[in-house]
Amino acid sequence: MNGMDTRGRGKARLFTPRMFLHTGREMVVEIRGSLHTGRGKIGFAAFALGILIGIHGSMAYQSQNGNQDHLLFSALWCAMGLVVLLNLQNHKLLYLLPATREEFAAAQMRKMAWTSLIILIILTAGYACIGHSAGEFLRCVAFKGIPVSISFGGYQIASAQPIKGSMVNGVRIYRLSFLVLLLNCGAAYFNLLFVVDSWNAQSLFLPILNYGICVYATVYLYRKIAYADLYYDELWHDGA
Amino acid sequence: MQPVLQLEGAGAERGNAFWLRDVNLTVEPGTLMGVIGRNGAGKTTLFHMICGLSRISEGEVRVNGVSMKQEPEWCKGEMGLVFDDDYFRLDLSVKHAGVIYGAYYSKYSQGKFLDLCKEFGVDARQNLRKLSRGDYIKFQLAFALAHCPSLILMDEPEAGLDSIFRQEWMDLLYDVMEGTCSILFATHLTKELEQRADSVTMLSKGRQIFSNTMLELTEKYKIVRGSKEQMDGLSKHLIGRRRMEHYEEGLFQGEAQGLWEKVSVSKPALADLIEYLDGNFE
Repeated sequence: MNGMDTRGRGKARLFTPRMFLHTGREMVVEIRGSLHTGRGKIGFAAFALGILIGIHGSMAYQSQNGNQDHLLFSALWCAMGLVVLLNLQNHKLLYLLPATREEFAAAQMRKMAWTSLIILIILTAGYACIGHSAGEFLRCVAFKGIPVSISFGGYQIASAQPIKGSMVNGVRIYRLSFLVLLLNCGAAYFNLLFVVDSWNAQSLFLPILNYGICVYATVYLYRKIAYADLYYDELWHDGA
Repeated sequence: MQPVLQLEGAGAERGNAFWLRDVNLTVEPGTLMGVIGRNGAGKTTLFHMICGLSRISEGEVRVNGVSMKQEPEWCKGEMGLVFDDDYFRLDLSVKHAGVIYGAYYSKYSQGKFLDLCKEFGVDARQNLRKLSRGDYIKFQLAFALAHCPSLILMDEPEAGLDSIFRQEWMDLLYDVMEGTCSILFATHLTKELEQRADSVTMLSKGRQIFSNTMLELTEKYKIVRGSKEQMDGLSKHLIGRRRMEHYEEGLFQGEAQGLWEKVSVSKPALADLIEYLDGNFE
C-alpha cells in the first residue's frame, strides 16, 4: 500500500490498477521473505502440491470417469499455501502503521484479488488439461473457476485481524466469521463437485449460489476489517 | 513554537479499569523527555496510548497540534517507534522490511534507511530474526529516522543489553538530537537521563507524579541530610525520609531559602525521586 497523506486532502483512491500492481510487488517481496522461514517453505510446498494435484488429476481425468474432485483439492491446497506465504503481517504493526482501517482492508482485498487470480489460472490450466470442448471449457471457467477462486481467495482477508465482533458494524457473534468461511468453502465444494453439462437452470443453480455466497462473504469480511472499532490492547480484553 | 507532543488530562482504560489517568505533558521540538517510574507504573500504557495501540479514554493527545483522536493516521505518520518487543514481522530481511513497511509513510526514503543501517552497522541483507538484540534496536531506529518523524517514541529499548551498548545507544541518541526530532524515552537508565534529558515525566501506579524540565526539578526537589532533630523541624516539607547510620535523609519540597544553614542540601538524582515519590502520592 502506498503511503498516503490523507489529512485535509480527501481520501486517496484505494482500488486503482496502480495500487493493484503495487500490492503485487509487495506480495513478491513478502513471498521472498517468507521462503526463508520454515513456515513459508511449508506454504510453498502446499502451493506446489496444489498445482501438482490439479495438473496430474486433469491429465488422468479420462480414466477417472469424469470425477473433478482433484480440482477442489488443488484449489484448496493452493489457497492454503498462498495464505501461509502471504501472511507476513504482524498484527501489532497493523495498529502502529499510519494507515486507516479502510486502507488496510483494501490492501487485503487487493491481495485477495491476486490470490483469486492465481487460483483461477491454476483451475483454468486444470480444465484445459482435461480436454473439454471449447464451449464446455468456457462454461467450466465461468461457472466454476471464477466463483471457486473468489471463494478460496476470501481466506486471504480472513487471515487478517480482527475477524471478530465490532461495536461499529453491530456484529457481536464471534463465530459468525467462521460460519461464513465454512459456507463459502461448502458452496465452492458442491459447485466444483457437480459437472455442468448444459446451460439450463438446474445446472446454473450451484454456480449462481456460489457466486452469491462468495460475493457476500468477501463483502462481509471486508466490512468486518474496515469498520472494526478495536484497538490492539482491546483484542485480548474484549472477552472474545 | 508548536509542541511536538501534548497530552492534556489523557487517560487509557482496559476493560472497566483505568490503567492511566490524567496525564499532562508537553514535549517541545528538538528535546528529549525521559519517562521514569517503577515496573508497572504505566510507562508502556502511556506509549501505547500515544502511538495508537490503546484507546484514549479521556483527555486529549496532540501531535504537532493535531488531535490523535481525530487524525490518528496523520499523527502515526509523524512518529517513529523503537520498542523493546518485536513488532516487525521477523521473517523479512532488513531491506525488505524497509520496502514493505516504508511504503506506509509518505516521507519514507529507502535510500536513507539503507544509509542509516550502514552507519549503525546493521547488515541490510540479514533476516530480522537473525539480528542481535542490539542490531534489532538499531534497525528500528534507522527505520524510524528514515521516514523523518517529528517525534520518536522509545520504550525501554536498552532493556537487557550490556552497559557498553547502553553508552553507545545514548551517544547515538545524542546524534539524533542534533536533528530536529524530539524523543520521548521511557527508561530505567536514570543516570544517562540526568546527563541528556531536557525534561522528565514520572509515573506511579497509572498516575503522573510530575512532568518538569530538569531545571524545574532541581528547584522543586532537594535531598536534605541532618540529625533527627533537624529533620523533625523540616518534617512538614519532607515527602519521604529514611534513617542512615549517622544521620537522616529526606526529600524536601518547598521554599528552600535559608535551608543550607540548617542542614546539608544536595540535588536529587532521578533514582532518589523514584524511591521517595513512588507510593507517597495521594
